Amino acid sequence: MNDGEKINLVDHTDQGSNIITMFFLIALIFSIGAVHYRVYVKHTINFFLTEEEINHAQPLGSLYGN
Amino acid sequence: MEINQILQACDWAGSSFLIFSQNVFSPLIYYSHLLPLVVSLIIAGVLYFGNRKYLPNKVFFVMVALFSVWIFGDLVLWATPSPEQTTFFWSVVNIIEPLVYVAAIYFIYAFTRERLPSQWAQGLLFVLMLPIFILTPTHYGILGFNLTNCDREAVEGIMVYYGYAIEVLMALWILGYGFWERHRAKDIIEKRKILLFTVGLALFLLSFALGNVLGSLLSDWTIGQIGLFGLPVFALFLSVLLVRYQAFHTKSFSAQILVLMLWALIGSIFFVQNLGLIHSITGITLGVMIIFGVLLIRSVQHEIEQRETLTVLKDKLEAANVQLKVLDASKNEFLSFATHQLRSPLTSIKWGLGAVGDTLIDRHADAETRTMVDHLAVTTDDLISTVNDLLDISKIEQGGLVLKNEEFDLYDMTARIVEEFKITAQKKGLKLVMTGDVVPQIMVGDATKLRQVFVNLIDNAIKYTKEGTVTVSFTQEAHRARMAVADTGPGIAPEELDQLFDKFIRGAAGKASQAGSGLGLYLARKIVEMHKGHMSVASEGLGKGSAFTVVLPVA
Repeated sequence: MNDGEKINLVDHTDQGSNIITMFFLIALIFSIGAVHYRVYVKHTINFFLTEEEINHAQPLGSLYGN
Repeated sequence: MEINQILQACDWAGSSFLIFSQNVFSPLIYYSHLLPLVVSLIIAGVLYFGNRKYLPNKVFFVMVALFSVWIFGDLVLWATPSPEQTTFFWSVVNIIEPLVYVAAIYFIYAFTRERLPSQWAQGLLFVLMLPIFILTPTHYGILGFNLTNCDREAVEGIMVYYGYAIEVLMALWILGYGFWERHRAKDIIEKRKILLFTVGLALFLLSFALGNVLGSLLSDWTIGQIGLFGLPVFALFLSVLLVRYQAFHTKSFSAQILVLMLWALIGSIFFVQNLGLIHSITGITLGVMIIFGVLLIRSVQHEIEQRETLTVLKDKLEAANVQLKVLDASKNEFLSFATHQLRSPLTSIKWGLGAVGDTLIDRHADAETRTMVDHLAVTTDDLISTVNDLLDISKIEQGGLVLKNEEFDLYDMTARIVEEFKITAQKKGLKLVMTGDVVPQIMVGDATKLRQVFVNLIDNAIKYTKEGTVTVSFTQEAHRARMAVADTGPGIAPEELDQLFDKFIRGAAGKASQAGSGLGLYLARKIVEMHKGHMSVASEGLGKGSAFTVVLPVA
């Protein structure tokens, strides 16, 4: 492999990886933003008081939702 | 029962700065979370700011930043009494955790090949991560908040198992890739580096994952704390790589890491312990450590820079030396070739001039023509002598001069030479006398070459002395004979004495009065030394004459 090919390869990878890194960053921000929205804006936190409730996914209720 | 009432009944303590609280079960282990957090950030920071252009340093910095966010999130979960904070940070931790694995894959690619994974590999990682990004914020991620027995923990949804599955997959990816790269590496040191790196990274991820997976599956989150000690283990592997193999292209890392570790240690005691006296003592210690640490790092850096400069200079010097040797060899070769080529025609000219001289005498040619031919003959002799000197020197320097081993009387030889030169001295109005012991001195050596030395010395003395006496003294010592030629000539300046036997060097007085090549004395000393003898010069200064002494071993 000569130097020219090497440089192309590195540039190529860098360009592509920059785009994917950007995707990762956007997805991360979106995801954390969505969690924040769910918890702090919509207050949709279900509370479980017993193991049975947990196992059947039937919450006691939500603190702020209802 | 109302949820608010249950929360009040649980009576959890509040938290300050999200992470300091009475809710913590085991404060020692809990606060020890701070140490890997600080140390990992310091290591990554030092590496990154030490060499920002080096790809592994960048990727490592990102990985550690993600890991630090994870630790911080985990600390909040232990301390906070707020269900919102628990739910929020639990989700964040669940998103960040597999991202640490993604960063670890990037890191191993960067470390082994100094490039990022291929776009296909990166794309695959992104696709694997996509469900996490999309579904973690939903009830598939966190189902709710568990109030059973006043536990402060989230009830995890189905996504958490997906997260663990891809973490295992990525850990296997790293191991497989690491061992493949190790297999591919040609150099044994490179193989060791890659193995050490892969094992260190795998151990870190394993302890990290194992704690969480076991904690999650067994619903015992105290086990989760084991995971945090993975990073110091990895830091240990990294330190070995850094110090032993100079990985990561960062200078003076060992001194920096030592100092920064101490800062972190003292700093964590300073911020965690809040006991009056101890607090002020650690505060002062931290201050002193910062000052001395900076001084130590600077001095080590300075030393390393100097060492690097020296290495560069040494390499340059070695290269120059090799070049000089090559040049010297080719010069000697050329000299030998050229003088050979010169000597043959000069010898022909000499014989030709001899024949012309004889013919001129026979034909009674005019005096002017004869003088001219005589002059030509003398010049030719001088030229032949210079060429012979050059040839001898090139032979000596190439180690090609072989001395004869013959027995001869040194005294007799010296006396004969003195006799031969008496006429020349008389012509110049000089007195040439020989003094000392009249004892035969038998030695074994090359008579022709030694004769050349003595002729050269006596000839020089006569040549450079305008009036007065040239004294040749011959004395006998234990197993040695000493022959000295002293004159009343122009003398030699003290600063010239040391260089007089060097090639092409002639004294200022000599240069002013006589023509010469500056090779005679150099050659004479070489020949004497080849006979295991010694040659020296003494002069009290300009205008005070000079004395050359030759000491030779005799039987």
